[in-house]
Amino acid sequence: MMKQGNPSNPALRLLFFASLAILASAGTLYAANANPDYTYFWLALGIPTGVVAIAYMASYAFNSPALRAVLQDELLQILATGAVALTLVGTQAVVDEYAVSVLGAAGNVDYPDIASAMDAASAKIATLAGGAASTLTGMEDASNIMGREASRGVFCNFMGVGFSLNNCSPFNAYRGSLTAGAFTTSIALADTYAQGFILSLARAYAFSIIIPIGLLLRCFKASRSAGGALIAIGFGFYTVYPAVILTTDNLLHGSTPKDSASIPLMGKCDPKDPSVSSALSQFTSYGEQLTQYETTKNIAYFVMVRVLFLSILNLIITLSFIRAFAQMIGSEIDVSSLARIS
Amino acid sequence: MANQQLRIPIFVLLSLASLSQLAFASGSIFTCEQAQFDSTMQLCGIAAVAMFALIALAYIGGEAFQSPRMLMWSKAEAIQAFASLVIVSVILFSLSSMCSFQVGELKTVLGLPAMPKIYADAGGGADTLYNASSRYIENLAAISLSNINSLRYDLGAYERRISYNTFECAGDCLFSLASVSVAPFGGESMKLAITNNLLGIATVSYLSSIFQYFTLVYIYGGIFMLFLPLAIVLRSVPFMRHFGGSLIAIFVSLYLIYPIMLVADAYIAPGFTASIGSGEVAMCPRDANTYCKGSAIFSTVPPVSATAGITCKWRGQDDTCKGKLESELDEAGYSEAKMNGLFPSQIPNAIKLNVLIFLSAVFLPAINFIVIVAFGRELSRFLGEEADMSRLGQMI
Repeated sequence: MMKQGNPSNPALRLLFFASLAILASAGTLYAANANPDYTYFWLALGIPTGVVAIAYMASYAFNSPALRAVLQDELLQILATGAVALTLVGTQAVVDEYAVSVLGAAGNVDYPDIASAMDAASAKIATLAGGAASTLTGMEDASNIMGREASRGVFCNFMGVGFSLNNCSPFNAYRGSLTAGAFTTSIALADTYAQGFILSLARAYAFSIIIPIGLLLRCFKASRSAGGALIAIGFGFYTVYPAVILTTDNLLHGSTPKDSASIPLMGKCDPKDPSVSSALSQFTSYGEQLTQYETTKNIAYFVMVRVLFLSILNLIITLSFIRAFAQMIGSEIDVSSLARIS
Repeated sequence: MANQQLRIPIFVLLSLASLSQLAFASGSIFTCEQAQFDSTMQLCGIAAVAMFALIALAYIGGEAFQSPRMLMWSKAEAIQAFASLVIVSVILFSLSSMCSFQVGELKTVLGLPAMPKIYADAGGGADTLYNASSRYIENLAAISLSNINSLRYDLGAYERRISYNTFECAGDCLFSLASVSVAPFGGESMKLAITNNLLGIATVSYLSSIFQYFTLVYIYGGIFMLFLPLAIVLRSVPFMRHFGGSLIAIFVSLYLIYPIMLVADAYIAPGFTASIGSGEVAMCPRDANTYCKGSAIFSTVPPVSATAGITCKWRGQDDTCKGKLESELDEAGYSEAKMNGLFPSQIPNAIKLNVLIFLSAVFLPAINFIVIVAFGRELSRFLGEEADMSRLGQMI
């Protein structure tokens, strides 16, 4: 029965009904045993609801209408937080259900037995890490052989008089470029490992710890901003980041070769040949192999575009989303410090 | 009506004041020591009594001079002083709770499936939240240092191998005294450059973790405890109320939220390796004393997955981790086989380990400070004035 002269009651009823509905939905998610793990969602919304309910009762005990008004606002915020939680769950389901197959089709890639964007992105990152690691190993092998062969020199001495011949030393000319290439590849490899670790962390704890804590904090006025930040970070790295990884990698390449190329290894160099012509022809021949267009193009494309550039792009897009999403749910955060890992 | 309004803060104040003592437990953290806690309470009490005395004097003055303005001011400030007292009581209660609440209880209360190994190994989760945050950051600093040791060994080994030259007989060397000189490991200068870069990253990780460690030590030293009594006075003085609110926000952010975020890091750091698809992360200790200290921060009890954690491999255990200790670098001898025996870490594995430590020492703290800054700003706004704490994040 609506009390005359108290217009807040119908609104309050609506709020209670909606909050109960959200809690029921959260409970359903808990029962569904889905992937990702929504176990703590209901707890994150239930605790603040309980606190507000107790405070609401206290407001009657202490006869404080002002406190009741504040609590009604807080209940509205719990309701909004519940809506945010449901939006996250729904978006995640859509991404897993449809986005993976759409992105796979766009990149002409099949993801057999992969049920989620997280799985697909992890598989993609593992492939990239494998490619970068094998490129780096190839460069290491080439450098090892080149260093050994280029160091070969003949030394002849009798009674302090003699000569030394270093016909193979011109090969050292390639070592600087090879080292620069290996240096870049090592950074690319570090990037792919970092992406893999971040995905692993998000898979393990984004929906099971980070977002629930964020939901819990978002329900209280003083910690609303911190809660929003945690929700945005957790959701950004669990849902958006894998989707961005798949999008940028699958949509970018078209018909361009996607894999790296093997590094040619040089043969033996004979330092005793008094004529420099054989060493020179060997030098020229190896140089041509090393700088062959297809080889360098494939390696540069794989390492610099597919791994390095895309890892930075993925992170920038994800961080932009995190910032915008945090702002949308009431938190002003500066995510520039997170960009330092790129 | 005003009396009814006052009932709530008084009730809350008395409840919390009694609970603070009940929740208190002595610990090794300075903040949690009985004497420190008591002196803070004492200072807060003195500040509150002094403030109320001032307000009472103003009220008496108002009555004596029949000044409604002074009377109104006294009443308003009395409510503010009460509000400050309630806020400080809540903080002290939270503080004392953190001094007694254990990480094992946290696991039980939240029903978490696993506990970080560093806590399980230390009395099965008997650490209080303050001790737990210290333990995590100490272990993070330890593994950062072990990693630097390992890289330092690799650099030393590369340097020795690169400078190694052999002179091979050129076939007719007996007659002509001619020989061919070869530097069999000369090509490793490339690995030297990469490892140098890794050492730079490892140094950043170490500095970041050690910065956090000393920040925590400074916080636990108790200097910010002085903010609380000061805040009671300042929050009750007009014109300074907002400043007092900012002090409270800074205190809460550093004393309550920062340690909690570090404990949260300890719980989620094992997640980095929980489901990586590219094999294990191995560490080759190069110092018998430090061994793989701190590597437990990436493990849980029970393990979250088969790939979780760092595999600490002692020398010779398998092909990944042959080689020697740092102290044995000069015992390498002069043959190529001896030089081979130095066997530095494999580059992809060293990169993987470095990235993992970098993410734990730089990426996670960056998230921590984003949350702490957001919390501090919101709380200070709630208490009156927005404190700009964004610079804190730039320390990482």
